[in-house]
Amino acid sequence: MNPDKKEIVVALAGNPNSGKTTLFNNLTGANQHVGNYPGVTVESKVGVAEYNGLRFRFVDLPGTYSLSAYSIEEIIARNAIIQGKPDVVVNIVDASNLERNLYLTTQIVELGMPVIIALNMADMAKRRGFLIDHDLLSHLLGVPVIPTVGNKRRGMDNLLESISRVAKGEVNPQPSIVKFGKEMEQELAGLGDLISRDPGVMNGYKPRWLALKLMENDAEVAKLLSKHPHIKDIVNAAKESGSKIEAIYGEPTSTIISDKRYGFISGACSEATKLTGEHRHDISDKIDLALIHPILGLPIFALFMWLLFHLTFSLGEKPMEWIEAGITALANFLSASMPEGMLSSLLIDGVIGGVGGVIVFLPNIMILFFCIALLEDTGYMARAAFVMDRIMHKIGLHGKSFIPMLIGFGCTVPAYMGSRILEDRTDRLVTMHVSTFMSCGARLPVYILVGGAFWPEHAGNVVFSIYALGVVAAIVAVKFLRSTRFKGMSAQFIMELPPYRVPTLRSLLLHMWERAWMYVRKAGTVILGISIIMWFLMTFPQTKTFSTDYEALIEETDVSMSEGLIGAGERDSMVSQYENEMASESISRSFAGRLGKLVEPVLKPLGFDWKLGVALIAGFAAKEVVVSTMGNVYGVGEADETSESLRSKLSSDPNYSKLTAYAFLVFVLLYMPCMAALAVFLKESKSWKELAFQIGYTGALAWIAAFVIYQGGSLLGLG
Amino acid sequence: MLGARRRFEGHAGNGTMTLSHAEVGRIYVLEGLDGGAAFREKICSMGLNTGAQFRIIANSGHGPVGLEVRQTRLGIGRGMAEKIRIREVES
Repeated sequence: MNPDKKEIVVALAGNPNSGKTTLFNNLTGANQHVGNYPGVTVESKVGVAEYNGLRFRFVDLPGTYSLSAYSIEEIIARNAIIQGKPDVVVNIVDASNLERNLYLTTQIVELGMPVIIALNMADMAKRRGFLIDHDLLSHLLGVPVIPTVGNKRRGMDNLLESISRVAKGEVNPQPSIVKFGKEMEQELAGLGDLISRDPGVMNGYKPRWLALKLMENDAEVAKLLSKHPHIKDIVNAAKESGSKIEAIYGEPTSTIISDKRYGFISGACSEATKLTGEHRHDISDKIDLALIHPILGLPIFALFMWLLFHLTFSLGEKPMEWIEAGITALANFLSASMPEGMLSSLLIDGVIGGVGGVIVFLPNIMILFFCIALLEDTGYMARAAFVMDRIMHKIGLHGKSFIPMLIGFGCTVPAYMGSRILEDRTDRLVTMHVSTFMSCGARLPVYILVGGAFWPEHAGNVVFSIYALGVVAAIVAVKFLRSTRFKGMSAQFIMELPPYRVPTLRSLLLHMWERAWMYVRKAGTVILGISIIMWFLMTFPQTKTFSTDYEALIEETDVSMSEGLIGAGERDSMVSQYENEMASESISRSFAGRLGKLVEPVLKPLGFDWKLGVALIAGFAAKEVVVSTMGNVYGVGEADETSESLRSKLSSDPNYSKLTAYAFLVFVLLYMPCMAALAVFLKESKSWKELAFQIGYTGALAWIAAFVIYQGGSLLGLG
Repeated sequence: MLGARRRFEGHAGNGTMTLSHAEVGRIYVLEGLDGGAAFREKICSMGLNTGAQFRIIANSGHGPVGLEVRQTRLGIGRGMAEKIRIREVES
């Protein structure tokens, strides 16, 4: 460590499911933040910790099985190690799955950075019948090996101690590099010499590593060396070496390399590991018999999904009521304590109405994400992907695609982000394009409102049919995309099925919180801004003279009451009726109303008038505000999805039939995602073209579907 | 011709077959990988290199194959499984 430097920079590397994230959380606690790796949209987590007066900065690298250049995560991990120049690399190794985990270790060691192994979950290995002599393992691998148990927070101090010693240079690990045999080593040495003729282009990479990667046909390294003055000689030499080796062994060079790696690992493991009796098939075996069973697997999956949604909506009900009551109380308090005017209108109708409408769904979102974290942490999610792959692959998606799509039922924003688990860009884009049709929580109030208004007896079935239609639309859309813009099959499925584990509450809550926070942030930023804009559009320009002189009518009513012709209750209801009509009229003349009328000709064939147009435009800003906008447009004042007055307004409007209502619901389901989701779509796809396509095709599909329902239904005499 | 027939039947006659035809509960050894470098590295890095022994935990003839190798479980899509040559280990 540089003595002037105040921090020890530590990179955490390891396989997926090695317990890396748990260890990172243990080490850094709440002192972490999420950022992006430069140039890519893969999240990087950085956290700090203090120990013995030293400051540590931990960088959590993406979980990978290898450091080849075949996936973006692998390239990021190895660039973060080489170019990030950490003082120490901590490689988290799952002790219960030692050989496979050490495969990555052999590649990290080759990069020539100081490495420490955190031998995680040794307790699990013991239960599975393996006793690992970590001192001997450390001796064989030439690096410090520190046993840890992440979920019990054991071994953290030892790990920090070891890191500080290595960083200070008190311990100097001499890692054992895997030797690939005499012939291969000769070729590597020759190539390495050729490369080191110009150290300038090496960028801190070791010549042997560059030579090795060239022989493995690593495209990234070839690109890196393309500026080398002797590049032609190097490429030719690498080709020659490759064919020499392949002639000797009769196998591709990369196969020889990985075989030698596993050979070295097997040697070390068999020396350092003692079997404490027959390897017993653990509990995972029995659970898997049922959960990935060819016949039982799917019904079990369906049951879990049903439970997930049932819990999300039934458990969320009470807290939703509390939040709603809180928001109403706040609005009442403000309207009582502030003078009536622009500012109070902005705060109450704009800010509280808009942001409040979003925050109401927080309990649902939190429960949904808690359940998803539970499925992930127990190990079931991988099984679900396994079971679903058969169907998903037939549709044209990847088994893992169902995970972002499932999240889409909560909110489209994390769904787009969740599509990162797909390695293939085409798969990722197709999944993102169709995740939009997984009806998010914000669209639900619209269904409840309209469903309740037009089908008071069967609202539940109507809402369910819309959700189901969303899934059908997604399937149709995949078929369409796969036969037009994204031709070909989805990438092949390969996924680890991690052992079943009892998750820790801490980790579940942390996962839930991370995603819920994303949602709250959206409410506090994008939706706040949009609410203010919508308020402005609906308030200005202000109407000075109305078609009817409402003021005079209200005065008349007051006079009638003072003359005793009508009671106080009757007077109040009449006055509020006039006030709402007034508000409705001023909206119709506002910018929003004009915008609604501008799009009316386009929406007319679907049976929609300008009022629904305004609601849909507001929904483009955020789906959550469709209902509250309708409340304003129909002049019923504050409204939510259970508002009786808004329901009766809708169902008694002569312009609307059941057909209009259903067409409207389908339109809300299918048309473009909200602006916050689109911003994320652009960030994830990194393509304006894909963004434009997403907006265009969802809009077109929504219009066509609503058109077919309305016109087709009318022809058949329905509604 | 021989390659096509082998893929169709899944057996080459000398005990070699593709993973897609493996039977649940039996133990096999990996003989070779018939795919590009990316495919080979992916499979190897997840624990399946030439000579690795594994036990089949799920294979219904449709959808992915489930197997256990080096104390870990993997799900491998049918298309990939057709490119993985294996041989049964006499137990």
